Amino acid sequence: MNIQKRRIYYIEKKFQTKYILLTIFLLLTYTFAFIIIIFSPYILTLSLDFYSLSEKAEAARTLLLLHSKVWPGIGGIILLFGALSIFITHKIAGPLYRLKKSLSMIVEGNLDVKVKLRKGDDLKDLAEHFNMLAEELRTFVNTVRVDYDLLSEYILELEREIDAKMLTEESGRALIHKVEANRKNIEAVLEKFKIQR
Amino acid sequence: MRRRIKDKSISGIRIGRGCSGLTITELAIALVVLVVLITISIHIYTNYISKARVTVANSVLDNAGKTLLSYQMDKGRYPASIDFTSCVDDQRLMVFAPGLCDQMKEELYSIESYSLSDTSYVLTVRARDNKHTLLTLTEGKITIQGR
Repeated sequence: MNIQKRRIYYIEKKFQTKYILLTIFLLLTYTFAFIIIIFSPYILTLSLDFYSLSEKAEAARTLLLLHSKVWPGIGGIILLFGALSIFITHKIAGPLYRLKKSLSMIVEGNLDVKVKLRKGDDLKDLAEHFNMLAEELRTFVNTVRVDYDLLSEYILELEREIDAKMLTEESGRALIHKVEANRKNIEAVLEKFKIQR
Repeated sequence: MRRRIKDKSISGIRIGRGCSGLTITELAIALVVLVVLITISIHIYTNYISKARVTVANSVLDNAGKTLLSYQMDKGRYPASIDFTSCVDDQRLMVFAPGLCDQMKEELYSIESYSLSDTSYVLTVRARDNKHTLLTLTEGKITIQGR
């Protein structure tokens, strides 16, 4: 599988939208909590009547100072993290997209698949395991294919000998031994896979 | 949530496509609820910011009242007029200290008027809130418009 340089950062739209929304949700929740914690003492001082005018004025001045300083920072942070979440999710979405495509190819029967991830991509371990699985499947199919070819050859040989009426007990037994060897090969490969019957 | 079935393997097993965990719809609903909460909070917050601006104006006017009272005790009368750019009276005598003078310029939206009657004065200013609330100081008593 060729590695193409990914220029689009919005690959897995559904997946990335979900995590961008989650990031924005968390950022808004944190901002909401942060604002309540920061502003509430001054708002309380302003609201309660038992504070003197000078105390209220001091709280009001601090509140106005925070109001002018805090919001541009918070707005900047939300924008920055919103944009960053696209890049961060892209590091996961990219490999996931490749793995999904490769799995679809395997499902369709194409085993010549190898997932190669870009530098800095996440899920490299998963990609390695996927490549191991693909390699195992290739080995399995190759073994079965070689044994299938040999078995086909033995069947032809058997047919030829029967047609030529040359089949002796000795040659028959030799063919049975060869078939038995192939059967054992296939059995050994099949033993690796466990399925409920 | 129902999954859209699209792919089919060689063995005939159907593969569903969809996101597990939190769905976009669920997240969007949570986000909408949060946005509604934030909108309500912003409304309350802006009210408090306005209140803070009026409180600051109230405090500045309170200090101006105290200064005018000490002027009256010192000179036996209130200033006939005040030039609020330099905070001096008609005789070029300092009425408000430079600190208070700067505060009046910075923390008040405008100084509407200063008038003197026989025994009392009326100083009217506007606060820096959205409505530019009018505050009136008469003999140390502050009246806030709409309260």
